Amino acid sequence: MRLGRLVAALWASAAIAGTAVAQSPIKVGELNSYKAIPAFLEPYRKGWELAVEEVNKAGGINGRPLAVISRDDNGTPGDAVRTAEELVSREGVVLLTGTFLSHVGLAVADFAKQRQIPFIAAEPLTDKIVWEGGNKYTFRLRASTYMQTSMLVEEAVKLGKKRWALVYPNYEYGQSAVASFKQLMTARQPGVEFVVEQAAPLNKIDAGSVAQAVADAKPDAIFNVTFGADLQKFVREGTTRGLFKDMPVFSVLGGEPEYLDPLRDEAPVGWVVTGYPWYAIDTPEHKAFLDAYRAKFNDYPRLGSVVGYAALMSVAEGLRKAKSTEPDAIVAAMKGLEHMTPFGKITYRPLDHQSTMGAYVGRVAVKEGKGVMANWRYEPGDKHLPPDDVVKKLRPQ
Amino acid sequence: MIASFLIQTLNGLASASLLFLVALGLTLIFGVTRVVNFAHGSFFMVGAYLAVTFYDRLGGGVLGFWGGAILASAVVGVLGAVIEIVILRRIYRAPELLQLITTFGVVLVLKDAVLYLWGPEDILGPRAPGLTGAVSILGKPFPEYDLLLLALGPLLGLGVWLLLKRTDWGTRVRAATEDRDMAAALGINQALMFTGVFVLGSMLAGLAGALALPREPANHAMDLTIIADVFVVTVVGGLGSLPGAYVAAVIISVVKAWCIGLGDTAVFGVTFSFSKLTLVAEFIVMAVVLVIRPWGLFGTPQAPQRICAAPGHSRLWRLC
Repeated sequence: MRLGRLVAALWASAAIAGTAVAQSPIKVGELNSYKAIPAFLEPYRKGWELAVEEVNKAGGINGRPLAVISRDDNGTPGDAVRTAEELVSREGVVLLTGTFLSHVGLAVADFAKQRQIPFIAAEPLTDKIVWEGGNKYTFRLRASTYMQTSMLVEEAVKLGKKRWALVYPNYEYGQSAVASFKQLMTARQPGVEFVVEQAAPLNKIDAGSVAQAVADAKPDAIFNVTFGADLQKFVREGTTRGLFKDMPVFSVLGGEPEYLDPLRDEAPVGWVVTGYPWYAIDTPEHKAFLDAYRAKFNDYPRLGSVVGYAALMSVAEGLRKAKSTEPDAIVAAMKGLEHMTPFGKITYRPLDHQSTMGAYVGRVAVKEGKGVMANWRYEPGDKHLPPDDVVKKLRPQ
Repeated sequence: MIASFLIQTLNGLASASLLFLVALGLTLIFGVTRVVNFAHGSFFMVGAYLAVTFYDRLGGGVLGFWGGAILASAVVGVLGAVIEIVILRRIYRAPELLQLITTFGVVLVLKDAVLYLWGPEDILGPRAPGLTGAVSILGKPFPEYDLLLLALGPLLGLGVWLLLKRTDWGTRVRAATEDRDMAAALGINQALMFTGVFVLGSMLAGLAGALALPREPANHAMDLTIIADVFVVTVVGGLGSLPGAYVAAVIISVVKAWCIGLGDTAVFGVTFSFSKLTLVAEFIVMAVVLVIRPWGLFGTPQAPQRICAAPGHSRLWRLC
């Protein structure tokens, strides 16, 4: 009798242990500059938290729950690589995702290549991460500087303005966007001139001096790449100094709620921007996301929320398709992976690992004391990528 | 060309005023306590956030803006007092590295507190009422508020200078700056004076944060971006020197404004981007000054520390 009980108990505990092994979570490493860029990344965190909750509610990844181990990368490449190393070696994560600033993203992409660990870059926008500096293990979700610039250039060439001023933050992202802008504008509108270039240190723009220098160059139009506090400072100084009066301005990211909302009624009316008009998108996939997000957080989503949500969905779908946690299997699954996001269906191109997620382009307007995007439309990402043979030349094979 | 040059100089001077107010506080605190307070930039940030809140609470307008700025400055002063009494007092005799780490800890705590209290989004503050427009100088628009700032920096500096030169308290502070141990030996209550100087310094930083609002939204990067500039200013001007802080703030801000004004300029046939140089301009100035004058423009070598008469909890740090 006693022996029987003991055997039964052993059998039961073995059974529990067995299920525990089958259901041990798949660990995913997430790193981002939460303390340095909270305006974008707090909503971003909420976005991926919602995604994880939905994935696990729907049964996880092939029967295993998904667990995200999130770390702050301090917004510097050195710390990011150290954090990534810790996630891989100590926490045993099967892949990495996240990063915001372009130079930080590039550092982690290089780490992914060295350590042969898949890395799904969510936000860093530099073209290099999939092209010149692309590698087998790195994928990128968001529309790149090239793609977003191309969307704006389409509008810019319609004006036929000759003398352009360029204002950008002096680091990888800003330089990448300006290089794309010059290349695309010169190709589409021969004879275009770039009369002044202002490269401001990130977060430290001397907006008054920059606005003055831009005005002195007497441009016909302005292309702006600054974002966050730099953008708000530039808008205010430029407005006070009359720089934006009758001046067409094209601004990458200017319509993202994270950067547009703080400006309230001082939002620069008429600027052509890429962004996220969450209040007006009525596709079913966006509506489902919006409702779930509002129900969970009692707040409206920012662009960061969509990026965080979609990034984790890419991770989950990639792991599902891979049916394995081996790096090579995940990389193979990510190539050509298709899935739904709040912005519609996206595909990770096998050619360069860039997703086809697009962006919204519109004009800034002020409605009820708030900056909004008007006359907007969705520009699919695949429409704004160069031909395959050009990409092949850019990307090390 | 000349008009542009002049306007850029004025831009530089307006920026210099804010930088000077923050640097003034840091340099005063350093002069007396010999602590390099890393959290000084955080006082600047907290001042900006508080001023936005007070502006809304006071119903905006002139009262909201100027009253809010003074209130913000006062609250930051109280915050400074608490931090001095609770934390810094215990580390005056500690090795410098430990002081830096401790004050950096304060930076992190205040950063999280601001994130918790005001949320992650940048907050665009009010413009100064009545000073929202621009005046025309040589045919170019220049913000009215910047003109005010231009004057306000040196005026407040003069006020602090008079406080130091003409009052008993100021005399004691200067004595302590020159030779802390001798001042203690003559019976000056150091604990009280250290707290007082710390409060004054934090108030100046908080006020600068509030006054920065028309030019810069309250945001989470303010603390570390300003502290880097302010360190450069105090080192260039000479740690502990009041006029030095002003001269250094002017040099650095004006050099940056000129770099932006020059933009891409051909030098001997090669196009050189001066606007990109703003990333490192202040450090180049610092390097040049330190090579020529290792103690900064107006600095003097530090007085030796002879005894370990720490105010308050001297038991913690017996060794100098």
